[in-house]
Amino acid sequence: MAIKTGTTDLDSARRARLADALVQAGRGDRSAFAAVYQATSAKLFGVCLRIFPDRNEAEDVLQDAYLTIWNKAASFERGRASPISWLVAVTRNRAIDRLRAKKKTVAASLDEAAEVADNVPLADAQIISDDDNRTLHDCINALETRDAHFIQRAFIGGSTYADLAKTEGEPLGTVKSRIRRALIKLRGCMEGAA
Amino acid sequence: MTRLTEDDITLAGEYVLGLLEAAQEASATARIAVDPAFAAEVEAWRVRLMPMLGTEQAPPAHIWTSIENALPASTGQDLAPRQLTFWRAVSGISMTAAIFMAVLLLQKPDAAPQLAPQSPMVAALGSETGNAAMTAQYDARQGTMLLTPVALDTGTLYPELWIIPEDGKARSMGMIDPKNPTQMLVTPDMRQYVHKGALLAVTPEPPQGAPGGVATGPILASGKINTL
Repeated sequence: MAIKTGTTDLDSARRARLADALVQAGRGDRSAFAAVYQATSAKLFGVCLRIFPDRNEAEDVLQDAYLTIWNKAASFERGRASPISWLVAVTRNRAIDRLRAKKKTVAASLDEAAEVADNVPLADAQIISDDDNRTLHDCINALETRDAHFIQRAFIGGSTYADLAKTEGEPLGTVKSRIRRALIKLRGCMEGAA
Repeated sequence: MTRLTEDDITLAGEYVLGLLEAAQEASATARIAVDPAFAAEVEAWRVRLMPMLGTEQAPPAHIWTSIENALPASTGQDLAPRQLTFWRAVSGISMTAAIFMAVLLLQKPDAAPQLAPQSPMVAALGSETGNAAMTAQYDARQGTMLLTPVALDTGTLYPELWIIPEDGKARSMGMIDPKNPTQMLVTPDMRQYVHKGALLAVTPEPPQGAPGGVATGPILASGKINTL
C-alpha cells in the first residue's frame, strides 16, 4: 500500500530498475547515474519548483540535488526505502537547506513573509494537485485550515516548530500539540482510505 | 520489530516535515539506522506526503550537461562512492570497512593500509543516509581506538563515546574530539567489551562528561563493531 501510493508513476519493474541504477551510481557508474537522472529529473524538478517557484533558482537547486545524490548514492539501501522516496527526500532536504540559508540572510523580512504566506487563500491546488493523490488531497482538506497551513509551511516552506510558534505568537507547546494531533488525524484518514 | 507508540509515529512525521530542532533531528536520524519499525514509519510519511511536493516538470536539457561537468574526477580524494567501490572490489569487504579504509587513506595518503595479523575491528557510526558520523578502528594489540569524526554535530555540548555490549548496558569510553581524528587508549578493564557485535554510540554531554556515568543526551550516532 505504502509503495503503491508513493510511486504512482512507476510500476514495480521500473522501480526495481531505478533501484538498480541508483545502487550502480553509488558504485561510481556514471551511465547508471545518467539513467537515474533520465528517470527522475522531471519528478525532482517538480519538487524544486514547488519550493522555489523561480525557475532559475529551481534549476540551481536541481543541479545541487543531483550532485548530492551522486555523493550519497552509496548509502541508498534497497529495501529500506523506495528509490523515488529516497531521491525526493534528498532533493527536498537540499532545497529546504537552501531556502533556510536564504531566509537567514533576509531575517528581517521573515515575519513579514510569513504573514503574507498566511494570507494567501488555501486553494486546493496550492497544496497538492489532486490528480496526483486524491487521498492526501481529501485528508489534508479534512484538517483544520490552520493545521493544513502549518504542515505546508513546514514541508514546503522549511519552517520549524520554533519558526511557527514565533510567527503565530503562540507558545511552542501549543503549536507542537496542534500539529501532532493533526498528524495523527492525517495518518488515520490516509490509512483508513487506503 | 518494536511496536511504535503514537509519539513515535508523530515523531516520524515531524522528522519528515522538517519540524524538529537540530538535536532532535540528529537523534531521529540515528534511530532510523537502528530501529526498522521507526525507519518504516519515516518511509511511510515520505510516501504519504510526497504528492505535496509538486508534479512532474521536465527540466531544460542543459541541466544534465552542467551536472555531468560538475561530477568529481575519478581520482577524487574525498569519500567518493568510487573510492569506496574500489576498496570493496579489491578486498571484498563491507561498506563499513570500505568507509573506514577511505577515511584511513585520507589521513595517511602515502601509507598503504597494513592489515594486522589479528582481524582489525572497525565500526562506522552513522545514520539514516549512511553518512558516517564517525568511524572507529580498534587495535587489540595496542588497546587503542582510532576515532575519525566525519560529521559529528553536538551543538553546544560535547560528544561522549559509549560502548554497549550484549548485556545492553552502556559504558562510557570517554569524551572525544568532534572535529579531529584522535587515538584513544582503551583502559584495560574496558577492553573485554570491545568485540564484534558490540555497539558504539555517541551522545551529546556536558564538557566533563555525563554525570554519574549515565548518558543524558540522545544517541546521535551509533554503529556495531565488525571485523574486517
